[in-house]
This record gives sequence, structure tokens and C-alpha cells, in this order.
Amino acid sequence: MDKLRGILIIMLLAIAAVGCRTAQVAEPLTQSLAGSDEDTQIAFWHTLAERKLTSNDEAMHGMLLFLDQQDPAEDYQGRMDSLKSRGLLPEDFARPANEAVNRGTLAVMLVNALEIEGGLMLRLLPRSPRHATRELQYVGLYPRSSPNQTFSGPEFLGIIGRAEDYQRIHPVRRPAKLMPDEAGPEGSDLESDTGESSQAEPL
Amino acid sequence: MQGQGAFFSWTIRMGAAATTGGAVLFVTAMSCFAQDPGIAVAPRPAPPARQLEIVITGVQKTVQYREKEGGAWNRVEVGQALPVGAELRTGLGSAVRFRVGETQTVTLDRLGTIKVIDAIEQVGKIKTDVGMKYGRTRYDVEAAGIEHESTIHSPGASLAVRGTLMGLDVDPFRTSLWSDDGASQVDPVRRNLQQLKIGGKARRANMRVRDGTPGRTGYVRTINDPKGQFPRTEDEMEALAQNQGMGGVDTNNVIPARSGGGTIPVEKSLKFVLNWTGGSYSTTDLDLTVMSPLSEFLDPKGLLHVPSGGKHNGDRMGMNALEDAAWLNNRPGGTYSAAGTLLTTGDVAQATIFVELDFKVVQVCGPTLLGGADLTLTCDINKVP
Repeated sequence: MDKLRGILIIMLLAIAAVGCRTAQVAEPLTQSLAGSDEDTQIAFWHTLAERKLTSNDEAMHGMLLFLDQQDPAEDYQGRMDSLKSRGLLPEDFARPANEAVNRGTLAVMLVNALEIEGGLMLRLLPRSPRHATRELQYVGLYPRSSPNQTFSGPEFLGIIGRAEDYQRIHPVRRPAKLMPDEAGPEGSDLESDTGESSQAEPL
Repeated sequence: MQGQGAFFSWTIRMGAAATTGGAVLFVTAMSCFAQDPGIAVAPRPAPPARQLEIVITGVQKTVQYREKEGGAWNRVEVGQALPVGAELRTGLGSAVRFRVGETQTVTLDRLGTIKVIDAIEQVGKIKTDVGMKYGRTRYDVEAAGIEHESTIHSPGASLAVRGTLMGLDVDPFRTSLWSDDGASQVDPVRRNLQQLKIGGKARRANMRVRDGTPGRTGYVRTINDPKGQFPRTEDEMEALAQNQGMGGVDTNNVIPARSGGGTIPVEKSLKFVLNWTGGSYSTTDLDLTVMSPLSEFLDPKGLLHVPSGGKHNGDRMGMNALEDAAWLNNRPGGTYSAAGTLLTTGDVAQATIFVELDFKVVQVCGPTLLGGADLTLTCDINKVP
């Protein structure tokens, strides 16, 4: 019985020691591909697509590229300050640069950047990661998620792609002859049988 | 004497039959040999395949290309011709459109990468293979009386283009496709999913990835739930989907029809819950798989629904999480085998499988610490009524 209790205590200690560990990104891409010129930007996105995790620093760099098409900040602190000054990040946010980004943190940035009003709870708590995540699930930008989950590189890329679609409010289903910025002939876009837009379709 | 006569008669008949059979075989063999000279004639050589031209017809913002894997990326320009095997990638807000031969137009939208693997014309048939790792591609084929065999390959599915306007959108969370005016065919990469045909001439098919097939999407949409979808969990929706009184279909024909509204009736339920704690990462992945007595296999990375009514609630990850699989309204009787498997390399997690029969826990397997060489917790339940 004592032996069993001992094993149980060791297991609990092991769980307590490793269970709350947050994943870290050893070498964030922002160390080598943080430039704002277009070639570096495209290299950043497609190199990120090969990574297993997205760090806070990479996510904020990506967010600034998404918002401004450039990131003049020199370091992580500069990026945080820029996003806080716009009200996209909570003032007390102080997570390390190389820590894996939380879906909730990114959700708060996206909800505010895309001006998604959401329901009552999000209006009351616009910096709430939980409600921001749920709202993004509702509009179809996020898959079913916990705000504490993180994103891999390709997942982050997918979310930014969807955010861009949302921002441009461009229909997805259109002939290949038309570039995304070109207006198609009326009625050329396909709609679902129920009249739902593809963006409102939950994942 | 009569016996001897019968024996001789039988011998003669058998001899005659053997002779006739031999003759037939001989004639058949001879006729085959007689045809040999015709087979020996050398077939007419097929005309050589002609490589189709790939020309960039539109560029929006930043688009790069490289001629072969491992090469340097360069900016692409309108009017530029690319060789087969070239790769293109787009940045944020970017897109590129290119023409393959005279009849096919392809557009790659934002944040995607695409490679033209093959583009040839042979004997009046055009064959094009395009690989897309991630991103969104739209594909037009102008019907010009030439047979087209065009395929877009992606990590999740291959789309065989049969119509004139199709598209494929691939990201890690879902693979979606659309088709207009014509049919298409999708070959899921997973072996346990069947080939899927969508659409047809002058009709379209809709499929939500979470439903798995266009048929199930249509089936789920037939449900008439007076409370709407918001108050329901997925399990409740599944129970509803099997309730005839609300527009659902009872796959086992055992649930009586009832009027809509009120509590969902549950006749015989069986539920397996895999619970794990102590994973090291938010991406710690354990999978609950269940084999029914009918040898149906519920797998979060494979089939989420089986014909007998079993349903898996999908793949979950996390340091502490749970997956469940259930037969909510009815269940086949017999032996069920469940297993919880740790898939995250180098990780450990404590796993437990609970078995609930008619909402009562009847069996608990574990807790077991999975990790190292011990990656699977199994749990069988026998003689389920």
C-alpha cells in the first residue's frame, strides 16, 4: 500500500512538473526574417509554414504584416508596444517572445483588428481570450479550440489566410479567370443552396 | 450381360464425349494459333506527347517562382513562360494566375504554394497534374471538345477535375472543394475513406468536412429541431439525427416515430470515454479507437460515423483532454474493443477508459501511464446486450 502511495505521489509530482510547461520556440524566425521588404515577407510566411510551433514574436510580426504590410519594430518589445498602442493586446500582456502563442491571445488581436463585434459577452469583455476564441469559431475563422492551445506554423498561416479573406470580404468561389481584386460579372459567384456564406460556415 | 452391356455403352459414350471435347479443344487451339500472325503485327506508334506551355497571365502583389526544388526563388512577371516542374508561391494579399496550354487557367490565391508536376497533350488528350501543399487554387477548363485529365494533388486529397470550374482550399484544419457545372472526384489520402464523387452535369453537391460525405451533409440538414442548433451538443445532434420524429433517419428501424420537441429519447446507449492527464504539450495527442461487434472501426483520424449508429466526437489534443465514442440510440450486441493510444513522440500521459452502458459506468480500464514503450491502453467489453 505504501509502495502504491509512493508511486502515486511520484506520478503526481511528475505531472505537476511537466504538465504546466509551455512549449518554447528555440529560434524564432524573427531573428532572421523580420525585414519588411516583400521578398523577406514571403520568405517569412513560407518558412513559418514548415515550423512546428508559432512563437509570440512570430505571431506579432505576422500580425503587423497583416495589418500594415510592414513591421518597422526592431524587436519583440517594439511589436508588443505597437499592438498595445492600438488596443489589440491587453496592457498587461507580458509573455516571453519565444513562448508558443496562445490561440486566445491571437483571437483577441484578430477580433479587434477585424472589428468583429460579437455577442454581449465579447462586447462586455473585448480582451477576453475565451470569448474572442469562441467568436472566431462562430464566424468560421477558428476551428473548435481552447484559448490555451497553440498554433503550428501552417495552422497560423491558415488562420491569417482566412482573416485576409474575412477582411477583404471576397467571395471564395469564383472563376479562376478573376484575380482576387477583380470584380466578377454579377452572379458569377457561387452560393450554397441554403444561402449561407462560406465564411459563416462553421468548421 | 445387361451389366456388361451398360458398361460398354457407358464406355462408348465417355469415349465419344472425350473425342468431341478433344476436337473442340483442338479446333479452339488451332483458331488461336491461326490468329497469332495478326497479333504479331507491330502496333502503330503513338504520337509523341507534347509539353504544354505554362504562361503567367496575372500577378497580384508579391509572387515568386523557382524552376526546380532547392533552387532560388525569384519574382515572377506577367507573360513569363515557366517550365514543367516550376513552383510558385504567393504572399499575403497576393495571387498569381497562369495558363496551361490553351484551355486551362489556374489561379493560386494568398499564402499558398503550387507546383506544376506534369502538363502534356497526347492523342487529343490533355493531362495536367498540379500539386498544392497548402493554399487555395481555382481551376478553369474551357470545354473545347478535347478530353482533359487534370488533377490537383494536396496532402489531404486529390481533386480530379471533370467540370469546367473547380477549386480546392487546403489548410491544416480542413480541405474543402467546390465544383460548378460538372462532376469531380476526390481521392482522400487516408486509405480507409472511400473515393468521393461530387456534382454532375448541371448540379452541385455540398459537403461539410465535419459530416464526411455530401450524403451526410444533406441528411443532417433534413433535421427539424424546434430548439435550433445552438442549445445542442454534438452528441445530442447525433441522437436527433437518428430520431425519425424530427426528420432524422433511424438506421436500425427500431425507434418509433414521435412528435417533435421535448427530451430526446434514448433507448440503448453505449459510450467509451478516453480521459488523459499529464501530457507535456498542448498538442499531446491520444486517440480513442473502438471496434464494434460488426467489425466497424471508429477512429478519430478515420471514420467518425459507422452504419450501426456509432459516432466518434473527433480528434482532441491537449495536456488534459478526453475523446469519446458512443452508440446513443441503439447499439449492436456483442464484444467491443476500445484502445487509447499515445501518438505524441517522447510524451507521457496518464490514460483511463470509462465504459458507460445506458448511462451507468460499468467498466473502468486504467489509469495507466502511457509513454516510452508502453503506448496503448486497451479495454474490451464482452457480451453487451
